[in-house]
Amino acid sequence: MRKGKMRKIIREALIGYSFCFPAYLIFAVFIFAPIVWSFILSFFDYNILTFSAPRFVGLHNYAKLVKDSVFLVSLRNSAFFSIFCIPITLSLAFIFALLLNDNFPGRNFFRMAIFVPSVVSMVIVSIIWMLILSAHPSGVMNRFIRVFGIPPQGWLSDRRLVLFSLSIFLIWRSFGYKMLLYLAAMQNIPAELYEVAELDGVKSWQKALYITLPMVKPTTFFLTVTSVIEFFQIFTPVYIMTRGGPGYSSYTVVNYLYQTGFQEFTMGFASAISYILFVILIILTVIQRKVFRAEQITL
Amino acid sequence: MKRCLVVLAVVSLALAAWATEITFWFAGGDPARDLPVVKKQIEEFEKATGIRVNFIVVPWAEEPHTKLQAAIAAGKAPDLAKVGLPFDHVLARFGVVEPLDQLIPAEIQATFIPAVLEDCRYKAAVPAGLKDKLISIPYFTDVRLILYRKDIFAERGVPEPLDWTWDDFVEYAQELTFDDVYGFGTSGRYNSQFIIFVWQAGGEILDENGYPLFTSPEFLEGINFYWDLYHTHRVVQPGAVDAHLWDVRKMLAEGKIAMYIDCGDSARVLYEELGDKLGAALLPKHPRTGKRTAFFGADGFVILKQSRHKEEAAKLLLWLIDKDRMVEYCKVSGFLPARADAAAEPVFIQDPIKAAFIRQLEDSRGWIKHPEASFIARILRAEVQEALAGTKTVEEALRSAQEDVVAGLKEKGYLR
Repeated sequence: MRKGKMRKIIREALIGYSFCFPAYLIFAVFIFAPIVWSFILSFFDYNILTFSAPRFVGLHNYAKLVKDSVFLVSLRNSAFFSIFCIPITLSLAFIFALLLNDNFPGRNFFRMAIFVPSVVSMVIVSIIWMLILSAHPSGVMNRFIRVFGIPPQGWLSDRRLVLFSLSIFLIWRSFGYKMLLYLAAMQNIPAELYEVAELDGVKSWQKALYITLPMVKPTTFFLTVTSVIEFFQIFTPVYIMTRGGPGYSSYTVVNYLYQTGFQEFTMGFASAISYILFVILIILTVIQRKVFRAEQITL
Repeated sequence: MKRCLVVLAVVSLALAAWATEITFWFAGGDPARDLPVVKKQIEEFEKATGIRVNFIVVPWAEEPHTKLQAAIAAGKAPDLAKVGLPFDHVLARFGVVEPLDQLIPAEIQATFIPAVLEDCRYKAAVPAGLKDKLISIPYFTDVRLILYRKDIFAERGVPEPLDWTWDDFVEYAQELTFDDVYGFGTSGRYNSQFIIFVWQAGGEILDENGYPLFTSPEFLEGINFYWDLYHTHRVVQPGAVDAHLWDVRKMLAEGKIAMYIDCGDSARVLYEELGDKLGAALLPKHPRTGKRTAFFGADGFVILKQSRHKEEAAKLLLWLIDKDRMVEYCKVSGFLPARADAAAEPVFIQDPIKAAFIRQLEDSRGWIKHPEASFIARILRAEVQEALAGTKTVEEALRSAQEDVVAGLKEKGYLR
């Protein structure tokens, strides 16, 4: 009897696992194996063309990275994008989600208009913004600031402005998607909470601050974590708009990784860069998780 | 009779199925312009030879060189590939291309523009046995010269730039800088925009042993001249330290700059927009050396070592570099033919703009043919931009570039 029951459990488990197997297989072959393999290769000197004959160099690639000034500048720039863009992007996304959560004519049009930049090809919008940010006095942005009496600026060619200019683009490009997630989260907040607040005479901004904001906290956590990963992995706009210049002033970690791996054919070194980035992102994610948990406990 | 026809049909189908198929990767190309020409030529090749061609276009935006590396690593390399040069030297460095000396007859080789073909010969000692071998065959070239607005020159009373020197160039650019218009459009993002002045001053990027020469007086003179255009003469458009060349081209079309340096396909696009307002002139020459050396790029064909149909790939290569087909392609694409006999066709020498490009080709050079060309280009570009941005002097920037490149080449085993 017990044997029969055991067999049934095993059979059911096997059936269950067999349903999961294709997904696990795809994950193992296309995600897990390359991750592990590239970690191993970060200890080798190799490139994609001599894939079959890598040369073991131990920790040399990592030791070189620590002293590599271009890598350190790239890391600083990637960190700048995260620190500067994430608070602004999330704040804008939250504010616009609040505004567009109300019923008013044309609401869907505005929702779509704000979301569209997130789905347009990054290459195309990068080219358009590159032309908008042209340093020539007749460039779109320069003509706009001339209205306020500000002289033309080298938005992408002045090393003091380039990160700021790229940030404007990145915020414009990404806050629409985040706004959509906030909107979805806001629509799940029970209406009774607002009704009670209204009975107590609570003002709109107080409702937003003391009801909406805490209620969408899981979304904020999710967006913060994914945004850190997103902004640390910026590549296309920099590649298109500045190629990392002037000098190395707008190089990001992924741009440097691409340059060393695919242009200079030092794939082992590029693998080491990707692992440093991986570790940084893991650490940041764990910290964020702890901070959010601690806040939840305090609440 | 019916039975015969059926047998014939079966045999034909079987033969078709057994016909050799080669894979041909084509980097770049414009679907509305030159790619239909290539497709047509391939169809004609298939009909003439019975060899089937799997023609795959990889646009530049999709990083064809990276995809080719991945295909080689996966053992799925195409038989024939059109790549941007000097990527052929990178492929050769890792021993993945087939030397073409035996596959391309000497009389065909002799028809090419010597400087362009010479750039397709491998110069490094590693891997052994490849030195001085032909590793690719050029398809077209795209030398860069001065494209200018004739109407702005006329409006400012500046003579057309004929047989001019560096001094004339500066003088003209100053005359042409007024209101929101700048005399010279350029971008420090591209080595090709400033290295020409180094070459004209007699400088070199590397010596014969592969040692960088960034701190030589000639190199310094060339970069200083370029720097002066920005900061002393102030004839360069704002943002030129790191502009995209599309943006510069757009400025010429809009009349915001009077001249800039670019290649044939840009001239074609600009001509469509500006018509006879567009002029093309040879680069100004250095007053001492008399050189007006320009930068040329080229695209060429490589046959991959992994190919199991090298002879068939060579047949397709020879088909595409046939003089008439090359002329047909270049007429549409706006590039210059790599063959001297094709470049001498009336369609090129009778067109004033194309003729200027052909003449400039006589004094022109490609980027260095070194396996670490990309690394050297990155360091040099970044340091020159530092100087242009004012964070370093030209001397400091070039010294820094010299040190970094020497260190990198030593570490990679190219220098002792």
